[in-house]
Amino acid sequence: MPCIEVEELTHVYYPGTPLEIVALRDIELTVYDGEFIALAGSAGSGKSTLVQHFNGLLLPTAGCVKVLGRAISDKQHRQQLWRQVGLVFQFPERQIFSNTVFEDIAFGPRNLGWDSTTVSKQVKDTVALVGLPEEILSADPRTLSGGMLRRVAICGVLAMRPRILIMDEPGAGLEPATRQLILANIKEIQAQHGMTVILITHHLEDAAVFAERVAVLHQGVLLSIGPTREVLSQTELLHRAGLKAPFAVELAQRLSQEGIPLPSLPQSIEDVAQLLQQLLQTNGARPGGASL
Amino acid sequence: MPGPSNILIELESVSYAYPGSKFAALQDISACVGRAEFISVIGPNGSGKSTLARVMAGLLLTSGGRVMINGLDTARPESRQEIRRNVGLVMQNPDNQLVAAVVEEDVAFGPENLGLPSAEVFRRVEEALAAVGLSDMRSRPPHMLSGGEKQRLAIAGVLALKPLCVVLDEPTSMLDPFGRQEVLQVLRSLSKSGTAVVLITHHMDEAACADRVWLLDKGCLLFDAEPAALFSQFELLHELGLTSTSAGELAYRLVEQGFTLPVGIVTMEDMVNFLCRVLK
Repeated sequence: MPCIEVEELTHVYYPGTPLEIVALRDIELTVYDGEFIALAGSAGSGKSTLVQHFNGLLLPTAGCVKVLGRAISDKQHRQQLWRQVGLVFQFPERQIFSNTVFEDIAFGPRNLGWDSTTVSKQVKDTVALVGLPEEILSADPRTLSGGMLRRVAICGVLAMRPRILIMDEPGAGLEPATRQLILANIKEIQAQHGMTVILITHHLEDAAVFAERVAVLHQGVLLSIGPTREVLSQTELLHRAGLKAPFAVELAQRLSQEGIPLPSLPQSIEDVAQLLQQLLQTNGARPGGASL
Repeated sequence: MPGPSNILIELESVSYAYPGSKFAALQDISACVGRAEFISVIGPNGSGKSTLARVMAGLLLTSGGRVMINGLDTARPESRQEIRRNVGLVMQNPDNQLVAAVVEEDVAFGPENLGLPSAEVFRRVEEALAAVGLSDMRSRPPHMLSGGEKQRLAIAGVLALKPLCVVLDEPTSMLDPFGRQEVLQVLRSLSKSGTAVVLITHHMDEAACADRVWLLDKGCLLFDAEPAALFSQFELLHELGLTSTSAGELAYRLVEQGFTLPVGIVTMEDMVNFLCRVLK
């Protein structure tokens, strides 16, 4: 079932002024209920502009965006969208403003009008959901590390139990392990709770591991959309979009240029490792014997 | 390691604790940066990387030990102006260091403050904008640039001062791969043309481009080595929540599967060369 339908969406900033910029041009896109889709594109490609239509922060200059069945041009619908579409901006920890973690996470749920027992239960559940200890709720956010703080900020949105979660580079500026942890966590929640996840990223390695489909934007135009494996194998298109294919895809292509084709196209480092294992063994290089 | 006459920045048993904190953000760090050397600094969140950047730029004064920049002690107030001119700092969030309403004026801010003749200011702005690929956007207002473009602008502002060393605190964390590559190329050509570069980053493939890599953990310098040596320390890196480079991680997986690989495979080239040798 589609949960977001974008039809011929065009968005123009500052129309009629010398600063006029066409940020999006004739975008056609459908996001399905419960899927994990990555939205990739270089800086200025229109990713952020596009997702701001999904929770009614921006309105189309032309075309139509339907979220959860109704057009966002419908004012009543638009004003209620924030309850169901959670948007985690880049560096969300900068929006933390309370003195305790609990207060900060509780802000959204309280605004939904839930009573205090429900709010407190939701906050506790959410913190557990992302694997943070319950004691953190009484902590002062200023005393937490960058990675913890990022997870707390994401909890603030998750606690509202959005049906659609949009995240803009949730791993930016974090150490690799924490980045993986955050994404793995979101993936788990998506799978268990049927939440739809839209991940904005220019790190295709992450898209390769977590996303089911990838959409590529370039200068406001949707260049490609499809299953992750298909999109990530189009290295030329990715390059044109200012993106870099995952290491695994690049390595496979380099090897095939050198006359060593891999039996299938790998997406992740684990994939390559497995393919190479087969290749190294069938080539007579047994484990322990493959050196030099 | 640079020879004694080639040392630009020298850290001598440097410690630092933030005011009011008992916890040492940096502990007994001794290291040096040579002229035109390219150093990258990696470490988990909270390991002291940003503090180190500020100490090296003379923005923070040490609680113990000494920082010498081009022979000047950062603790001496009279050398501060000279030090600021010698070391440029580019921060994580470019919004924190953009000052003007037009791109080229922002780049001109530094050289104008040095009191340079306007022809020289023009020349430097021109060069700096070209170096970061923003020449076409010179008359745009900075707030209308994308995150990546803003970061390149911040770098241009520092380059226009022609510093001896540029310290960058995760300058690429907001950039797309293309922008990241561009910044990296700028940094490489800087170090080739004689400017030292200290790059703090979470992208290991990026860190591997440096001449040397420093690994920080809990305020201590754990490792100071060439990329090939450091990125072969898989267990240590994983323990700290870090990774090796992509090629390094693949090498690690293959070693785990029981294959013997030469030590020091850190780049795509290394990996392709190795596989060609074995499989052809």
